[in-house]
Amino acid sequence: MEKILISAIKSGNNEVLLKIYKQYRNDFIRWAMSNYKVSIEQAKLVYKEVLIAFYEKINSGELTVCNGDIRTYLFQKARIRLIRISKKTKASAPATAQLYAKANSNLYLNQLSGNCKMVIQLFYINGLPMKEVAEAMGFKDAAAAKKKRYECFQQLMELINMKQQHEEF
Amino acid sequence: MKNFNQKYFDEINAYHFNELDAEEKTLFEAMLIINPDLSDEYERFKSVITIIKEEQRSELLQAFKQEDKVLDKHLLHMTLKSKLPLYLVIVGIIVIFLLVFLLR
Repeated sequence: MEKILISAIKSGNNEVLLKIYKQYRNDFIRWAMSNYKVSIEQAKLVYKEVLIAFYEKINSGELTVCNGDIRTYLFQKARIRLIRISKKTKASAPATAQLYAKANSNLYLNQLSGNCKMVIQLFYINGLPMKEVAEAMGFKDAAAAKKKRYECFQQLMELINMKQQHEEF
Repeated sequence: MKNFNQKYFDEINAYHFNELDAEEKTLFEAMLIINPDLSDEYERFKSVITIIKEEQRSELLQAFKQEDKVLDKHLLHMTLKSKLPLYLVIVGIIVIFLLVFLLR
């Protein structure tokens, strides 16, 4: 079961990650608060951080199978972060809080035209080889997918460039 | 930021994502040292990759945030439910004290 979920995430299905997020989130918060004496907000942030780390490990190919179930894996990975937070006297801000501060609604990827966002995501985020990107996107072959990847990357660079120029003025 | 040279772009991708064999990798690394254009393009490439990853993270956080409202309600309900016996004991003690006080 875990293997199926992991391979679904790896192939770009973020709904599966959201499902996992919803499934264990409240149990995690209660467990973290009662065992590590962290605040509810700290527990929420740590959970998000662990989920994102889990997602990135799957996509980088570091995590292909969990020892035990996903719930155990997530709780185990959070332990060190929770201990670190609970040992500090002042409320510490996990990296996720900083990411929240950085997050803006004007995302570059959402401004890409056509299927560029998907091509960029499948290759640069999910780490799929170009052959699989071509299959997923219905391109003729890996060479066609590579050409598309180049065009999409250029488009992304132009958006970044435009924003940087806009900020300079 | 100027546009990428496609030849460089494919080589950079292959190098960055470990698709080159040992010999090709060494050759590319040597090129990075002697070719300032390539080295410059690689730096730009890495900065775009960082932006892509950060955007993906913030998109996931937004998706989590959307689910939080409903989940927070459930969490409150779960917390109240688990503390119900405690609340009942407190109310019981208060009632006993009131009765003792009134019957005195």
